[in-house]
Amino acid sequence: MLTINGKEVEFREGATVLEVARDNGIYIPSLCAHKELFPFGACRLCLVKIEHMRGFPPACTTPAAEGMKVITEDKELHNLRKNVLELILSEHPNSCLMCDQKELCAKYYICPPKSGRVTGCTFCPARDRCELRKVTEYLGLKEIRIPFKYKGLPMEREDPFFDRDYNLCILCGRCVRVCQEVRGIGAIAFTKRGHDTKIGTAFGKSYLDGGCRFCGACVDVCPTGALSARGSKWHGLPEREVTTTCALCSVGCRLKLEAKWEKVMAARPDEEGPANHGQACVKGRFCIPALVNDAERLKYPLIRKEGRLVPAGWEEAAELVAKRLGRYSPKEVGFVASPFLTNEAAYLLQKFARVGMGTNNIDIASAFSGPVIDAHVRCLGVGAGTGTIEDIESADWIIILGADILTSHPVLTVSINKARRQGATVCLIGPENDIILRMVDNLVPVQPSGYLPLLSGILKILVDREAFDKDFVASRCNGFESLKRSLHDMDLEETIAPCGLSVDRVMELASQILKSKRGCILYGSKILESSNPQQVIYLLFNILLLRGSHLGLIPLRIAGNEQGAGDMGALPNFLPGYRDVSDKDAVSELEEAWSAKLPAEPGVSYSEMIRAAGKGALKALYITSGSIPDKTHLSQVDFIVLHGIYPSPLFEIADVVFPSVAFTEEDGTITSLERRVQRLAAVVKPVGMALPDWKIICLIAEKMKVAGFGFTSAEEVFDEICRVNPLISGHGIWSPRPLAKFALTPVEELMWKKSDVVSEEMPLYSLYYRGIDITEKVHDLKLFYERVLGG
Amino acid sequence: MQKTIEKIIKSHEGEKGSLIPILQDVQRECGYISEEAVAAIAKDVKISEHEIYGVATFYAQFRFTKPGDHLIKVCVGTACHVRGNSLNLMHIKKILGIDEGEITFDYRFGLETVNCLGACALAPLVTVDDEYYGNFSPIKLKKILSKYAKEKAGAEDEED
Repeated sequence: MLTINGKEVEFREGATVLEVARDNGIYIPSLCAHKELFPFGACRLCLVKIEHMRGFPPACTTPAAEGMKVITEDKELHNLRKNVLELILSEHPNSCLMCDQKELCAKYYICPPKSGRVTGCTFCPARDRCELRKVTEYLGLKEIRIPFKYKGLPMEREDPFFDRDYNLCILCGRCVRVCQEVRGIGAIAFTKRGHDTKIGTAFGKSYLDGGCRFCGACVDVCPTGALSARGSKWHGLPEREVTTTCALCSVGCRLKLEAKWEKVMAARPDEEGPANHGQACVKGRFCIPALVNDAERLKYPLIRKEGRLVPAGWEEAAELVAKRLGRYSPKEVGFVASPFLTNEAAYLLQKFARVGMGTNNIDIASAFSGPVIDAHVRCLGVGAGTGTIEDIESADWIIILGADILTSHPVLTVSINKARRQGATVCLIGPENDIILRMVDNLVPVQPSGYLPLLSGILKILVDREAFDKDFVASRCNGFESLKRSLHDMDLEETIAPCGLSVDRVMELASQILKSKRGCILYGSKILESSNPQQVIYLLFNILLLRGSHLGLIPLRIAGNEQGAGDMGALPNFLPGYRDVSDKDAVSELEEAWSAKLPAEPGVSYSEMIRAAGKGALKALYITSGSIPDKTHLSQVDFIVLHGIYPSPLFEIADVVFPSVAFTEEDGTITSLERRVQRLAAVVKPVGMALPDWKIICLIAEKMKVAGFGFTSAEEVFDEICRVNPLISGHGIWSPRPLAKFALTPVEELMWKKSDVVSEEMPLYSLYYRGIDITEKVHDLKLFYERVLGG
Repeated sequence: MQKTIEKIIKSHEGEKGSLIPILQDVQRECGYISEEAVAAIAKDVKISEHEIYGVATFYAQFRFTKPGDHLIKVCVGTACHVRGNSLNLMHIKKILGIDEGEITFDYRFGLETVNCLGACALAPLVTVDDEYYGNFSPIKLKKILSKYAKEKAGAEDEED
């Protein structure tokens, strides 16, 4: 209990006076404090009076204590703050704040200055969001007695994505701190001192050279216009702001998309986002407008006439598709689900394949589908991981296996950093770079070919030392004896030899897993380069199950809704909810729900489909992905339907192309890598005549007179999903019904057998969205990726 | 130089708060803090090179450009000033073609001004490294410079 301005308030241990005041609705002006950052005490605006304390302590760095008597507002403090603000404004162009005609200014000078330089009038990119302005207005400062000094620093615009005008910088240090503390990158720092102090890089390097990841966190925390996103700096305030989920990768960041003139103009991370907590990455923060407003977006359906694709109406195109698809037998048709489809669209696509075409030939065009999902289902009952992002944050030991997480899932590094600040040990197995090295404690330089030996070695150590959760294994796991037998004859040294580590080093790793109370394993796409990815997953699950409930596993899927598309049953061998197509109960349940007959035979997987197409066994392909790299196989296919939002190489062979919508234009849900079902909300209207994927499927089903596709909104589809899919009951993280018995996998047989599922044909999606390379649409991203990916 | 830096980093291994001592050692051994040095230190102490540069630029003691082989200091204290050292300074700048705080393109000479060297009786005073040249005049400059230039050439000859 402490007293602020005579009012008694509660506080939680460790909070600062500023936080307590804000929690209780008492405003104290401040510019450098930020709730994601440690207290800094730079701006001196939050000075308060505290009884029995000398001078005027800053509220942001003073911890609240029992019985404190704080005064946040009186004449003396007000004058003091005014003086401080005057000093700040003496080096910040301030006529926009001080001019008595400032209201008229906007009316008469409407064109943005071409130089991009702010010298003091209203041409500031932050004018509508300027925190300095809020504080000035609060303090009622009307004039400045100190002569103003313009620093005359050059605009820094050499780097992609954002402009830097350090003439506007007030040196609050938020950008430096967010980069170091939250993102763990440290791409900028205070350089020099005194009057010469400037935020900058070592030796004045460009940000590209200096290791900046262009996540935009610094732009988001900047209280002035010093940092501004180049693409949206002159748009002013948006007409509306819609919170939706980013579909460009699988993390599931919530973003506030700003719309004006029926265009998406900017994206900012949502502080309430359960996965991202106000953080974003280069793709989500800067690339969305350029991507969805692209001039090449498809606007109307196209059908092939006399060898050329020509525009057509929806009716004509849908009727053509219905007529043609009706000609083929179930075995001759294949469906390719894009990992960017919404849950609703993926669900309807598989329903259409199964009910309408009577085939199970449907698969996700993803490197993670097929054997990887099979392995998950076999061990866990569902094709998903067991961990959540919260698990990462509360873990005390994290393994990152085979993922360049800084490039593929940048926002997850925020959670990893958080865990690390709380004392977690982070171990990286696989690809490295200089920046990630600062974020990990333990680097294990093992190539993908060494993952199997390394993990089997660790497993053997765990079993030999009997360092596993015995109760859990005895009561909940099958196959422990055979696992033990298979490890018994294994020679540790011989096993781990191919990974190039010493026995001691592997021992050290294993003992860290032993010690950990709450571990977390993240595995990424590099495991697909190992000799047998399925086996890697079996081994990971073995380790996971042996440690009982102490470990969480998260597959680092790449594309936005890979998880959801699988959950919805867009798989050749699984119905919605990962129930096998041969599962009689599930089939009869679904047959009743859909009032239709389901095909009994399992379908063929994506790569088999492509192979079959090459042999001419597949007559028709329904492709929603657009990311099929090798189209030579497909020239044999009789009839190809394509959903797309941009022109793609598949146009050469497609017979009908339907214009679909980007994720900013549709309602629905997508599921993130932590199994979190989140809403997509339409920010703007679809481009031209484009329709959401689920509507297109409904249209064709209607033309083919297939019952059960009379949906009018995405919510209706979601309601049906909730009824039919045992995993999904609404938004939020779904959890698998725990299996009665988990399966441990013996090591021997699968061990060194090279699998034939290695995915040279599979595109890795970190650069792709709905079949196009994002870097082709966003030039700045190309610059950046060329630098970080080395070409 | 890479080896020297590695050696210095190694000698501080495991120390806490070792950044500034490492920087000081690097400057002593190499004469200045180079980009390569900062990159190497960053890798070792797991602090980003930008933060290290930020720390280093805070202190006046660190320099980031290679110093000249010989440092010419021109006193601009009161006594030297009244005896015309500012004219000498102008002359030296012209001859060497550099400004204060800079070095000649061949890294032979660096130029700095100081406020008093405590030898006002010798005013106007210029020092080169630790040699004092009192009662300095432009006429003396050429002689002095050629002396150091020769020294350098001589040293190079010996090396060959």
